[in-house]
Amino acid sequence: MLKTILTLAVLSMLHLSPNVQAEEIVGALSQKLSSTGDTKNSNITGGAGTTFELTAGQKDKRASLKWTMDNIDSNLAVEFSVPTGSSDNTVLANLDGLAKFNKVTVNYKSALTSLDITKMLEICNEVGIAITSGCDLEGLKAQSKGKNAQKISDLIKEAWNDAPPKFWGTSLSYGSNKMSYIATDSTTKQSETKYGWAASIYYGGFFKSKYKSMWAIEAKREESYKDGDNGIICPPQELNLPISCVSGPLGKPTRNIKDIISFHYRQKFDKFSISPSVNFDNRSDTLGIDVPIFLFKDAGNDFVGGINLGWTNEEHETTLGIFIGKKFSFY
Amino acid sequence: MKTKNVTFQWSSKDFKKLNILLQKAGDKKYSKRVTKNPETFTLNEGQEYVYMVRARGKEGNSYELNITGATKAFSPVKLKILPGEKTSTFLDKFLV
Repeated sequence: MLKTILTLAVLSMLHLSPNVQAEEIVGALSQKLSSTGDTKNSNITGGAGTTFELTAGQKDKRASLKWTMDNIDSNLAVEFSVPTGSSDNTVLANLDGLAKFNKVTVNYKSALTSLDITKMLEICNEVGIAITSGCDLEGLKAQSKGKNAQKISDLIKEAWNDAPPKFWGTSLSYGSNKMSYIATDSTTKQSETKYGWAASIYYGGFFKSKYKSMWAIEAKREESYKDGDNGIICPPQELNLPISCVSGPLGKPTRNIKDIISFHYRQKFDKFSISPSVNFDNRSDTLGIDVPIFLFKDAGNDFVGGINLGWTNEEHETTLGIFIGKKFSFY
Repeated sequence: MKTKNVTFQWSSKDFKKLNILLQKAGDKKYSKRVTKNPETFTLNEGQEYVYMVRARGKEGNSYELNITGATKAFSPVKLKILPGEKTSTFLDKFLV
């Protein structure tokens, strides 16, 4: 099944499909995947396994499929994502210039601090349920209650390096977008496939109160294309004849290069969780503030959906979106 | 200082690879990974070592780990992924 899904995703990109096709693929993906995703769709966060998620906001809608391989202290993720609808040429709060592109992203991240197995064994012994010999963490978790259960859950996260005090990572994206426009010297719509890419490096860590809060800084170079301003062109007509007009982006798409510095923060509370980021494009002096707020939990008591608030200094308005299938995670 | 050869060998019909990390007890700077199967380490005699095995899979997936050559080691380690879990994480120590 996974192969079929990935094939669909890859084919959609190889054929440089427009958004209509993307919506069909998303529908097919939704039917094939019975579960929601299990990581947050971010290069910085995200665990192992295969995940799927949908996001929908005032300015953009995306569906993505992510596959992750992990090792003791690092992981490599490949993500395919397609836009399912983006109507205008506005700037997103995360300043993502590839938001309208079908894209593939490869992300690598690694912990910079090594695990202390001796210390972990000591904690395991403190919990004090002997299981033959050694410490079977999942077995212990099944038998523990209250604070001990929390200790063991935290230990499992530590064992899988889910919350290293320091980590770094790098990410590469490549994508395409079939962009329609009205040439300035004609009244017919034309289209052109444009390619874009992004590369970033990030560094971050967890605060002492493990699994509750995390920070990261990220530097990103991005080269993409953006539509011209929307407009309507009406050819000259003879008197008393109906006028036929065309509307759409005026002029060819223009190259858009960004140097983005971002600060990310995540904080988990009992009733909700937040994952804000402040993003600044050094070339255009554009500032964006993106604030996903996780409000809804799944049966496993994990936050999986919520609302997304966004603001940029270009438009000076707060936008609202929703997301489903993003499991709140730190790393 | 005398040394001994200690071998890690595991078998499973479910997992192609296990993550196994070996450290000196109380010294996380001495850290080795098991990268092949079987893998032999030359370790200091009289020294205590700790290790961790991680496996990600489906419920019921199992493996067996044998540690040979140590003076005192709990072996074989037989574990499987429990119902409702996706991982198996095991920690233990042994004396060389």
